[in-house]
Amino acid sequence: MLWAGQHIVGAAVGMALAVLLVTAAFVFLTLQRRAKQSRYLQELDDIRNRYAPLLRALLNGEVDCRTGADQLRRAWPPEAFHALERLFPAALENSGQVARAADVAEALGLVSRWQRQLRGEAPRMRVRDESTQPEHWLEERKALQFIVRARAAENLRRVGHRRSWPLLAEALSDPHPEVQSVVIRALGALGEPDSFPLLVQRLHEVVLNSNQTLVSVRTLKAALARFPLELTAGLLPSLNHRNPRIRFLAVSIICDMAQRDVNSQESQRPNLPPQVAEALLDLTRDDNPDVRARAAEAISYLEDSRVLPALKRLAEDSTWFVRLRAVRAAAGRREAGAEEILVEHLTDSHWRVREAAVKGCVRLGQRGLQKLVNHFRVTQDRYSREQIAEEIERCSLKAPAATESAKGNPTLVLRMLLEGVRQHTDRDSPPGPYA
Amino acid sequence: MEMFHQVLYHTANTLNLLIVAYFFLGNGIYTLLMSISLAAVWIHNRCPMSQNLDDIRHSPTTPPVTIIMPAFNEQEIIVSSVRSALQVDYPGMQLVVVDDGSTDATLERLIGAFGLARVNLIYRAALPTACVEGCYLSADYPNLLVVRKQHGGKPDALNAGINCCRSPYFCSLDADCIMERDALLRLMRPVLGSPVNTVVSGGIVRILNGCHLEDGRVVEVRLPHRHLERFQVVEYLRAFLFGRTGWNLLGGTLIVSGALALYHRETVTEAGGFKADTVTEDMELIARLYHWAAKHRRRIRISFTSDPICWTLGPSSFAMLARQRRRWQLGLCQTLWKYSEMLFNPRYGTVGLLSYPFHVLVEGLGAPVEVAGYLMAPLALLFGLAPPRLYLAFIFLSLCYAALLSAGAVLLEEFTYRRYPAPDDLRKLLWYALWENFGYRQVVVWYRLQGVLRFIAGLHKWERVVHGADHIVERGAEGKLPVKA
Repeated sequence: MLWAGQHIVGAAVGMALAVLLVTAAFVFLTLQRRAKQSRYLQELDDIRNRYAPLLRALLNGEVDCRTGADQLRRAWPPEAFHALERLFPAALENSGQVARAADVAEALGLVSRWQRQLRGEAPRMRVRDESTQPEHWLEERKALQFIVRARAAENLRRVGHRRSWPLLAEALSDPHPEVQSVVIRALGALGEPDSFPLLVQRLHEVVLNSNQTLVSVRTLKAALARFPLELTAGLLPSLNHRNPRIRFLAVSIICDMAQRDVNSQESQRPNLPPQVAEALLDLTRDDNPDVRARAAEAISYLEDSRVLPALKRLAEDSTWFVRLRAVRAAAGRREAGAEEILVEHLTDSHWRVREAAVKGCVRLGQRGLQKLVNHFRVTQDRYSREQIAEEIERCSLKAPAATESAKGNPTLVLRMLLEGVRQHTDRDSPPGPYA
Repeated sequence: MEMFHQVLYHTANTLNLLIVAYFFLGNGIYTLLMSISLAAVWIHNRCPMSQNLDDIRHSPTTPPVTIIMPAFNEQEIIVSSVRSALQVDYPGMQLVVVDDGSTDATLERLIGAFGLARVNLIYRAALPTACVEGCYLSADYPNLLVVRKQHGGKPDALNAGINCCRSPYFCSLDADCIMERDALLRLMRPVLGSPVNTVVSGGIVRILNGCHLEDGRVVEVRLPHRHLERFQVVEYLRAFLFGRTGWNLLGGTLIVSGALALYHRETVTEAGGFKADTVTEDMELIARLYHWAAKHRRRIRISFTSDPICWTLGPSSFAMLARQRRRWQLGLCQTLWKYSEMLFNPRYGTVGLLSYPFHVLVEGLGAPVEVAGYLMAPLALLFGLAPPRLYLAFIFLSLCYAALLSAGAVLLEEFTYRRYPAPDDLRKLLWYALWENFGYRQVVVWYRLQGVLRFIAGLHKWERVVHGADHIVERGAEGKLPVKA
């Protein structure tokens, strides 16, 4: 009577055979998938090669938009419409093409298709070989339709179709977080001014209901930071909001917008609306240290006589990272007195502030470096001296031979260090690990 | 004698039942993981948020990252590994190489190749480490810092790297690994896109052996030439595409490979950095982070994504494979033992109730149970306890099921990433997926059992894997990658 014997053996063997069958099915599926995928990609390549010149001419403006689109539509096999949809956004090679892409996509009928998809009313299309085209397979499965909606929003973003912004704004309340995230990004990229308050409102909702939302604050922040600086007035309710996180995020967004403006225009002082500037100056007295710290950075972009006193005050803050931001901000100011803030904090109790002060002095060039060397000579603060020595060593790394040969000649060393500083700050590449 | 036979008979029956239950439990979970991974990876690959990296690359909100590369006696590969890491596409990326007291020419080669100069930087040890002997910077590579310290082991070297790091995130990268250019951007995606604080973001590790390299980059993915290495390719696919993806979706990621992982610096520092009390510092840190978050009532997320790729050299001999697997198993047991309070603890959510028990029962005890299963057949035959056919049938069933899971991993790879474009490689991959469980698996189980025995014996030895010299195909003059003596 050993066990239930034969039955169990039979069951185990039966199960093993069933498992083997499934394994064989997996192997077959894998090989079949490879074959089909190769065919599908080959088809795509053929279509791309066949129509690429016309598509390129259309996007480059060499052919009239309507005429070219008609021509392309007539030539393009209807059953391969999905290929156009897939290839079109990928065909955009430069900003000139992107500028024309929205019109071309509209003339080709792609925009209306994407808009329908985003609304969730995509028509089913007959295709030649459905199994090779996951896009159509997706459209037919309700649970996966969020992918179709998300892709539609993404395509509208990629071709820069600004007129679709109301539809995208509607899709902000899409039930799926993936679609919401893509739509937020799309609205940020399109930069339509009327969508700015909607995104701000969404930001408030996300922060206030952080336990219920699946959308990332960073996604919203990145989208809002892409809007032009003139729209920052729309952030006034956020700057005055009772929730410190919203105030913090609003200031951060303004900082990012201002920095982008500085980078693109190469002007040091972007134009912030006066009421925003007032609000930012007020926020330097905020109860929340995170907000004060970010406000220190934000006001450094302002052309206002009240900035330096505010930075001076912030540099005396009891929280170290507020002082850090204030010192960094002071290093970017050109007014007389900015370097005093830096020199005062060369002996700060927190090493990050000391480090920022030293780097700030170096950033000021000869004026700052002279102050640094003078401070180095007279200070009794060991930590401050260490920090300065480290920075000087970093600078001399750029002109090692020269500094070596100038040993014993302080003026020459200083000149060589300055050369090092110039090279140090002129580089396009990011600063070193200690920057 | 009759009584002895009865006792033996009942013991054997109980063991049988346990092994059968274990078989169904383990394979049931694996099947579940396979199903959800298949769906998750397929969807992930089709979602636009997961595919567009430009936004991360150009966004002002993308935080800077420091890559920390610990190196110990890596003279043969260090230059190309550093060169490869410097090519990573990420805004504001820094690289800190920590030479952990190498006794070979690792540091000298770095100095020569990158024009490093010794500088007296201030070293602030937020995390305690062995003594730092010097820092080196280069005028030509401003984002490279080399730190030379006394030997203290990999966790110590990583901690030294964290001490030198200023960015809010850092990425650990092994010196014998090649990171794909966009891997850091992909690792950052779950961090930026998650509403919860993502403190660790892990990526997939694939076998580099057999791949073609150019200028420190993988330019052609091929299967290795040795059988042993090919088996590992299948094994890695199964472990990363199934296991980790599945657990990530369930919110129970417990293992993130330290070969490529992105960490939130402040959280890791607060939790105490990497510890040397286990031989798998990466898994220990993950368990500790869960523990720390529960203790401090912090909401954290540990994420795994299957598209940030890091290529690593797999052992090419049984001796090296044994070292590697023994260490992994020992580290697993040490970590599971250390944080045993997490077991079935609802305070830890999915990790405590599902993932941790799975790792204890299936990964931790898997090797001894499997060996017991193999031993029962001859014992049963010897003592006439049960029909040997029964054991053989079950062993056959379990091996077939294992083959199914391996074939499933290759299927998943084909449906998603298709990293092995040569049709011949795909066929070979399938072949090795089927045969991996007849021979290779038993060898690995034996090494894992040795790891368990070492844990029981209280041994704590970090066994270093040294790679062979001929499993990488190089192209071009630059980036002479991975060949180690």
